[in-house]
Amino acid sequence: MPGSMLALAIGSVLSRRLSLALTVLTMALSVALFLSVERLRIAARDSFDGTISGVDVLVGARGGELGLLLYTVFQIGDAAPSMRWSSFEDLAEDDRVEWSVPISLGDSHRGYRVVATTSGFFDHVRTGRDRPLRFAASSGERIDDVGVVVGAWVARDLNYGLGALIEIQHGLASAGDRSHQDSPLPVTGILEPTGTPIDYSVFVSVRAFEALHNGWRGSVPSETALDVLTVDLADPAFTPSLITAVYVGMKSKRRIFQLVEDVEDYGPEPLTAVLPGVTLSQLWVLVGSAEQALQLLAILIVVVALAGQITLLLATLDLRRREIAIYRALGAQPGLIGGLLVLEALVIGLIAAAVGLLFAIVGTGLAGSVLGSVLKLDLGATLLTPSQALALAAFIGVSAASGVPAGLLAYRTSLQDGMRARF
Amino acid sequence: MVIEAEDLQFVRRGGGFSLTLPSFSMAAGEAMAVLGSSGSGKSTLLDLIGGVLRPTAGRLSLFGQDATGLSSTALDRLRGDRMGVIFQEHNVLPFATVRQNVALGVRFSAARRARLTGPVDAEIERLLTLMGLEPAAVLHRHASDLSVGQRQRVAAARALLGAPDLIIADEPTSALDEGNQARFMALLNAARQETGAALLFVTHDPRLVEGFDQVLRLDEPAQSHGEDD
Repeated sequence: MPGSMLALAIGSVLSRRLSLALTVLTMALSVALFLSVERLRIAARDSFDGTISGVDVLVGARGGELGLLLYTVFQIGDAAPSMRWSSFEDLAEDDRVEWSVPISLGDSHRGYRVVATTSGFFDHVRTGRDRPLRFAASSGERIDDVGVVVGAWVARDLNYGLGALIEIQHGLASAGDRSHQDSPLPVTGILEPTGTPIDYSVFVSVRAFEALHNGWRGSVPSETALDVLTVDLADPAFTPSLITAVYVGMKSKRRIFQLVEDVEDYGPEPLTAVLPGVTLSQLWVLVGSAEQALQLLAILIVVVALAGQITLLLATLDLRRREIAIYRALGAQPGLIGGLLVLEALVIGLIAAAVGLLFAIVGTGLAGSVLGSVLKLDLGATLLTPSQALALAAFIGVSAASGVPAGLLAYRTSLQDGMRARF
Repeated sequence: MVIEAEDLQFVRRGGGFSLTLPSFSMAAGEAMAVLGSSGSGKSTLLDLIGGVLRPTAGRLSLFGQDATGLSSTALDRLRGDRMGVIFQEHNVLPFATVRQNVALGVRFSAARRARLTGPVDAEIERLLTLMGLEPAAVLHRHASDLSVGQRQRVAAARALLGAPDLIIADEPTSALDEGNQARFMALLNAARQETGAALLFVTHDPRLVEGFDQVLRLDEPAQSHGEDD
């Protein structure tokens, strides 16, 4: 379009700046909401999918597969150790098994779950797309001794640094007399953020965990508690008798199902074997409807905003009849007049998309830490994913297309009005 | 000839209004007044000549071309290239400057741009002066800041830009007081005569038709039925 015509179009738009600004603001807010919801949804899904990877089989005491996954991986629910240590040893010695890591749960530290395991956990467990666990800070000691490794969020929330001494509470109580208060353990490692429940976990060695519970009978404290810092954890006395679950990595993926069958038929005790990826997918089917509802809601908000744009263009068309009549009298063809309105809708869409993107970036940037603490989600650093960029392009396209009804009406009006604006 | 109309008839789709026009013609540079009361069909006649309406019957020739055989696009082009239009009111874009409003006269027509004898800004200033406006004082003002009389003169300058063969003026003085009416008419006639354009001037006021080469009266009851817009 020649520059002078564009200047006139801009002048026309500016003459309706208040109503247009409100429409653009409404559309921008809807775009921001859509992008933010999308970002939240993707973060939720990534966090969910990436909770655990690199683990081929999850083995625990006989029970529901979903339950085993929930309390071992997502730390939802309460699970006392109930699988024999000997079963773990049998698994570890299996020729098909590349590595195995024991997991014991049941204790906590100031509201955060304690996971008793071995240093193998940090060597083999992955998050996201095969991302290894990395230490943000480490004293260099392996967890197999008395050291404690804390997740990124725990360190941040409780302001822990290396060398901080922490007390493990017995069970999931947050305080009180059921604390293993005689044996505060030093923090020897702090993990980098993963966006998974690992960030909210406190890791100790299974042997230290066993030593802490020396003499305890269920939830009744021991009268002869040990100072874990002074005992020799290599002592066979601190080999756990029971654990909660075992993470297993296979030498060959093709033998996974064979191992699962063998675990299910394991003679010494009834066990359950779970394929984490498959069970995660089953779980997502259950919780995924919320994701779809969220997505649908965001789309509906955008649709309402676009409907508002059409309404505005149609409503202001009547005010623009004199403008259209002048163009027509000067020889402008109806198609050009319709095209002007489509162009105007395109420009509105472009501005709304740009402002909406800006709102989304600023909004999620400001709300990132709140979302992290409330929803335990890492929104990541990606400002615009390819799918979001595609959605934004589609929004601009639909916005331009929404100018078509107004364009068609302007075309028809200009034919009816001829060279005069009829009011 | 600029216009040749023979036995023109127009019946609005769906009925309700019909117009029968006497045969008339207009030569280049001629001034014709169309006199008629409200609803007599004056606006319909202008739409027929402007090419936005098509006659139901009869023959209409514009600038030597049979207008009834032209496509809508060709009629739009013909109007843009060879006609300048002044409305009764709402003549200018209020959000645009005087310069932008006048320059619109050649925006949609390459033929009118080609007829400019010098730079468009110089031509705009010349026409504004012809219409009794001081270019330096009004050129960059928004049209909404002008008086009604000034806006009509800006519209006349726009209609004259690019030397169209025919100026169509649809009751351009109806919103002006008597003194401004006479001044506007004098300025328009002077400017038209300088450019050599023909003038088709529509009015309901018999006092304004004096001095025109022809007067076409649309008051006869047999000529129109129903309400014109």
